[in-house]
This record gives sequence, C-alpha cells and structure tokens, in this order.
Amino acid sequence: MTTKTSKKLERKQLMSVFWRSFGLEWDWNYERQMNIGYCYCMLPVIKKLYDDPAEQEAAMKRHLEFFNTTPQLATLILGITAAMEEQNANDPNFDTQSINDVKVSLMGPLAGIGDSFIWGTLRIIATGVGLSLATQGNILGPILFFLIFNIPAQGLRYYLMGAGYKLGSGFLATLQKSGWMEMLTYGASVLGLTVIGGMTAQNVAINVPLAIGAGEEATTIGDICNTIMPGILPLLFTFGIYYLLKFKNVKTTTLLVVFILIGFAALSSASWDSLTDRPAAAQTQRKTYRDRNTEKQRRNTTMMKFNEQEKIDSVKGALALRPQIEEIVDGICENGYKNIVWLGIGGTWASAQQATVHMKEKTGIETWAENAAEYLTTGNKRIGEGSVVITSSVTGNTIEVVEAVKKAKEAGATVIGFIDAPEAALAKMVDHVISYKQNEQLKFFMTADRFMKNAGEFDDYDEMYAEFDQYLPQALVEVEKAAEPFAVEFAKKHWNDDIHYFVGAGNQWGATYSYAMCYWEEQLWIKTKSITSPEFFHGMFEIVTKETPVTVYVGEDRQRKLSERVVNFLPRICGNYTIIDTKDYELKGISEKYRGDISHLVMHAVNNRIDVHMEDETKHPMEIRRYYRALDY
Amino acid sequence: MLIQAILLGLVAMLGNAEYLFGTCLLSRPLIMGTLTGIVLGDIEAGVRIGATMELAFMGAFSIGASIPPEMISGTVLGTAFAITTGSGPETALAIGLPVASLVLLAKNFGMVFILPPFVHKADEWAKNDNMQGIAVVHYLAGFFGVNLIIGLCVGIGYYVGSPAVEAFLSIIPEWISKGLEITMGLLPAIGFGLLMKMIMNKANACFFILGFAMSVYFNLPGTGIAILGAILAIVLTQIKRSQTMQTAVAQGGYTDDDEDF
Repeated sequence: MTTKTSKKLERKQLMSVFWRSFGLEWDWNYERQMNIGYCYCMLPVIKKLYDDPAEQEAAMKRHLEFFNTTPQLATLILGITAAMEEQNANDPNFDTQSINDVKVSLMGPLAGIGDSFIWGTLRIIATGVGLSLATQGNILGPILFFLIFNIPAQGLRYYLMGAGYKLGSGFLATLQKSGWMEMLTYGASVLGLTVIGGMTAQNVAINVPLAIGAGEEATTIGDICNTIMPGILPLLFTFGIYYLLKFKNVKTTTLLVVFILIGFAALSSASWDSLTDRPAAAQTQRKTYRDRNTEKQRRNTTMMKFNEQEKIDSVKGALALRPQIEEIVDGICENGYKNIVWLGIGGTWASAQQATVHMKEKTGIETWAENAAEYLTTGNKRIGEGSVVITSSVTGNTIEVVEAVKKAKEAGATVIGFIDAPEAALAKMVDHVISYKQNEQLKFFMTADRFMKNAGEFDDYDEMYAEFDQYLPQALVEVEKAAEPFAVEFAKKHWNDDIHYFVGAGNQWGATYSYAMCYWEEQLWIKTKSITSPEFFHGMFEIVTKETPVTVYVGEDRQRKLSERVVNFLPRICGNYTIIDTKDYELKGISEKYRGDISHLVMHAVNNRIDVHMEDETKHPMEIRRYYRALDY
Repeated sequence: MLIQAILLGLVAMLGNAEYLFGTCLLSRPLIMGTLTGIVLGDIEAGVRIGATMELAFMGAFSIGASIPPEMISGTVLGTAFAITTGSGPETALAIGLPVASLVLLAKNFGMVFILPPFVHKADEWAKNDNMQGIAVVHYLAGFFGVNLIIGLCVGIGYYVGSPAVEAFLSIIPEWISKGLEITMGLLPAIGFGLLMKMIMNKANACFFILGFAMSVYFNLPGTGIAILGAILAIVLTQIKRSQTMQTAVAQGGYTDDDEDF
C-alpha cells in the first residue's frame, strides 16, 4: 500500500459544497436531471482529494451521472459521497462503483421522505400561515411564508451536510435501523395531513345551490349538506380528486380542464351568490375579494333591491291622496272639533309623535299622540264628542288598535283611518277610511297640514304642496341614490354591532325611536337604544366611550339645534359615531323653508338604503319574526 | 412602460433563480405576485392576487421528474394585467392559466433544444479535466436554457401584450370571469389531492379529517391548526417510540434472563 500523506477534507471544502448545493436544480434537464449541479457541488472535493488528472476526470464523470432527489436534503448524499471520495482517495482498493451505487440507492428513499416533509408538510404550513395574512393584502403574508419555509429547510440542508459527511454511507442505514426514519415519516405525515385537512376546509369552495321546497321554506342541497357537516361537499370533492389521482391515474391537466367546464356549467344553472358560499372559516378569508367585486357591481350597475320607478310611483300615489284627505278634513272642520288625537302603537305611535311635534311648531290646536294599549287600560277623558282620532294600520287587524278605535267610537269620537288593506274589519269600523300602501308619515303630515291650514295657521299650504307634488317623489329617490355609498360603508362597519345608540329630535324623534325598534331590533335583531337629543345629556352620554356606536339624526326642523348640540359634543367622547344630516342631501325643486317639514322623509330614504345593506351584510332576512304574531301576549 | 416590462422580466428571472438559491420558493405565486405588485406600485393588490394564484397553483410543484405549468410567467403576467386594468384575481387567473401553458411550451423548447448541448459540453469538459469549464457550463446552462427564456417571455409579453390584453378584457363576457371564479374554488382540490396522494394512507387518513374538522367546527386559522398538528405529531411519535423501546427492552430482558440460567 502506498501510504502517502493521507488525504483529508477540511471544513472549507464541505462549506463550499454546502453553498454550491443551493444551485443544484439550476440546470435541471430531462436527460440526467440534477447531474451538472451535483458535479459542480463536488468540484471542491475532487480538487482537494485528487491530484492526478485521470482521477479527477473519473470523479467528475461519476458525478455527472443521473441524480435527482429533494434538493434541500441533497446535502446528506453530497456529504456521504464526499466521505466516500475521501476514502477512495486514501484507499486504492476502494470500489468507485460503490459511490454511484450509494447515490442511486439513497436518492429514492430520501426523496420519498423529503418530498412529503418538505413539499407536503413544510411548504403547506408555510403556505397556510402566509395565505391567512396575504388574502387580506398583508405584506407579512409572503414574508412569513418565505421564512417559515426556508429557515427549517435551509437549516436542514446545513445540518445534513455535516451529518452526511461524518456518518458516511452508514448514515441512512443507521437511521432506518434505529427506527428514527419511520418515526420521522410518521410524525411528518400526521402534521402534514392535519394542515392539509384544515387548508382544504378553508380553500376548497363548492356548493350545490339547487333549491328544494318553495318560498320561505326553500332550502338548498348545499345547506342541507352543511347541516350534516359544515363543508362536507368540499371534503367529499377533495376525496374524489384524491381517488382519481391515486387510483385512476387521471392527469392534473385533465382535471383542470374539467374544473373550468364545471365552473361555466354551474354558473349557467344557478345564481351567482349561492355558488360562492364558503364554509364559515373561509368566509372571512375570501370575503375581501367578494366585497371588492360586489362593491364594484353596486357602483357600476344597479343598486341592490332598488326599483326607482316603484319608489317614485309610491310617493306620487301618496301625494295624490290629498284631495281625498282635504275632503274629509274640510268636512270635519265645517262641523267643528275640539282636539286631534293621533292613535297608534309601535311604528304608528312613532309616526303619531312625529305628527304631534310637527303641529306643535305651528298651531294652537290641542293635539297629542295616544298609545293604543295605554288608552285601553287608563283611558283618556279628553277623548270624546268632538275628538278627531286619526290612526293607521297596514293590516287593519292590529289588536290594540282595533280595540282602541272601538273604545274611542263608543266615547263619541270621529275616526279617520289610513288602512292599507281596505277589506280589513277596522276599515269598516272607522268613519272615514283612506286606503293606500305605505307612506304613513306623509299621510299623517298631509292630514295635519290641512287641519292647520283650515285653522288659518298654515298660509303656505298650497304653495308647499304644489312643490311637493312636482318634485318630492324624484327628490327622495335621488336621496336614496346619493346615500348608497354611505349606506354600504355604514352597514359594513356596523352590521355586527353588539348594541347601537340612536339619537334624534323634533319631527325625526318618532322615526328615530321606531327605526331603532322596528328595523334594528324587530327585523335585524341588533340591540339598540334610542334617545331624544335633549335627553342625551341626562344619562345616556355617561355610557358612551370611544368604541360605542352612536348615530345622530340631524333634521332641519326647529329642533335641529338640539341635535347639533349632540353632534358638537360627541367627538370629545366617542370615536365611533355617525352623523346623518339631511342638509347633506340635495332636494331639487324644494324650497329651503319647506325642507324642515320633510326632513323625516329624507332620513327615511337614507335609512332605506342602510336597511338593504344591513340585511345583505348580516344575511338576516328582515321578514323573520321570532315572537310577533307567533306567540300570544 | 418599457422600464416596467424590464423590471417584470427581472422579477420572473429572480423567481426562476430560486433554483440557484436553494429552491427557496421564490417562484411561488405568493412571492411573485407580491414582487409584481411592488414593481407596479400596488403591493396590497399584488399580495392579494398572489394569494389567489397560490391556491390555484397549489398543485403545481415539481416532484420527481414532473414539470408543472410555468407558473412564474402565469403569475407575473396575470397579476400585472389584473393590476393595470384594475380588475380582480379572476382576471389574473383568466390570463395566468393560458400564459402558464404557453410559456411552458417556450420553457420546454429551451429544455429540449438549448439545455442538452450544455449537458454534453459538461461531459466533454469532464473528459478534458476542465473543472472551470464545468462550473461555467453549470451557470450558463441554467441561464440560457431556462432563466432567460422565462424573463424574455414575461418582459416581452408585458410590453406587447398590454394593449392586446386590455382589448381582450374589454370583450371578455362577465360569465367567463365568474365561471373562472367558481373554478378557482375547485382548483386547490387538485393540489391537496396530489399532496394526499403523496402522504396519505388508511392509517393516517383520520388526521386529514381532524384538520378539516378543526377548521369547520372551531374556525381555527391555518397557524393554529399547524401548531396543534405539530403537538399531536410530537406526542404520537413519542408514544410510538416508547412502545418500540419497551418491546425491545422486554425482548432484551427475556434473553438476559435466559442466559442467567
């Protein structure tokens, strides 16, 4: 044996191999895959160990053979072969064939564990964490993704370089024998599959919006499946894909084409919104895209649940009731009356209060709002001969109102009823009936105004209504259009409020009260509290903090000042307030001096848009009641 | 415009250069989308679109000898055109998918016609004991065979493609982009299916269901699931390990006793 000075690799060469290994895949080719990269990595080793050009040539050729494995773990094999080359350099009897044998026999198993650990587990964890931030547009998403993957992956690359060299060819065998390899694979598969399962739930979106049943009872197959288990359809779908890939050897490109076809086929047979329903967890993640899209649609195309012509016709129709109202009121005035009682309950009682405030501004006529249920229990001696009772009911069968009208009539009052449903029993009980859908506030105000005109306290009556007839319907529709972007933002900000405070004054107060109660509480099931602007400072403002959601309605009637006082004060204590000021809305054709008389209608138009978007954001259909007309009280 | 095209070409080349930098996932849509956003001045859109593309290309990763669609160019051009036309991720996908397939053709052209001569040149240098030669071949092969091709495709594609893409987008019916959005919901299933194929068997399939259930019933985000999954993996591995060791000890002990008699 020629015992020359024994050849030994130093840390310098091993580090050089380590750094070179980063470019292992740089010139990946079909013929021998990572071969040039591997040979390039080994050059420092070859240069150090062999002086003879023939030996160098042989070594280079060896390492230009086929090679492929998980690149981040390849340093293990590089380390092992470096150790073997070192042995070869010192031992002329060394069988060089064994170097390539080790390479070939190790790269398969290493790729097996490496692919599942690096690609199946580490990449997926990094992607999962990164995506959860990135879908919100957060730059940390990609950064974390990069770090979570690379710190372990490149750390492993470094560790395996030294480990491979130290342990030589026995390394993998040792690992396998000790059972560590099996443990590692097992642990990686547990972690990897758990994460993949979670990501499947969050990212695969599928729903069958085929409806079963009709009307309000209708439900979709997707919904039924979700009651069995949320996201069961994506789960089964993913299992199906897995089956096709694993057992049927279906190509991914085939699947891609099929998926695109499914996308179009599904679209043609179903409504768009229901198709993109996602499991709860994913909804927040993906919401951003949908928000962007729907917002764009809202802005560019039509407003949701908004039929312009219908709305114009509705207000026009209500204004057209005026001759009918005038006839009734003029008749009553001719015969004389002693007081005017606005009777109602719930929303109608609220409208009654608005009418009262409206009259208080201008007239000496005795008038008040009477709550139907209170009247039934305590009665009211002032109601009797010469009283004019004005009430309103959509259905005409609200029990308290029906009974109260009966009682008022017995006392000798004259009753005017605005009954939307002309066939209802109530319509036959009242002395004068006017039947027209909605616009309760407008109907009440028209009636009040006529009484005041006849009392000689409203000289502008004719002029004002001439303006309203001509311009009001269109003006209110324009308010709704102008309020749309605000309503979208407002609903997005407040749909999930725990409680929302509403403040209003003057002829807006009744609407503030009924809006909080009849829309947010009754229909949207969100807790509210409403308070008049003057009363705000006598208790409620103590509970308002930076986060408390407060909305102030500022109308243009005489009590505007009271609301302005709240508006001026709020910024000092609250960071979550909204001011809705009717002054911000143009009313084309309406004179400045009449704006205050219809502030509540302007506010109503703004609220209409808020309702639509609150309903859309909460996905809580406004028609549902838990108890009303379901339980007796 | 020209500068943006050059920069985007460089971004794509940087993405492909992950093969020079330890296969560090620079090429993934999440990174490429972000860098594209940076170049075009809308980072947030870049990150968002990148995230969507990442899901769509979840199944596109090279395992063994499989070559996935050229997602770098798909992502960069898709994201770039989505940003410049002010549209959403579905546009990025509508552009990105065909681009990825087209550029794969170009990439394969390089792999079939340009790269092999370099490989044979390396053999030749080895025969002549030219180490320097092999090092040079290594760098040139990857650069000319693949990297430059992708960079050119993206740079030129952006420069000449902009007007064409805008014209194309203006005539694209809405149902196509909506249909594609539905497809986007399905696409990740391919990626997850491929991963499951790689590591799932009858014994560990339950952990997939576990992760799924953690998400749908407890609304846990990805990180939370990963942490719990890691704890579970460690605990189970430890149990399994101690079981094997106990068996070994039990067997060993029996042999020892035997020898004593």
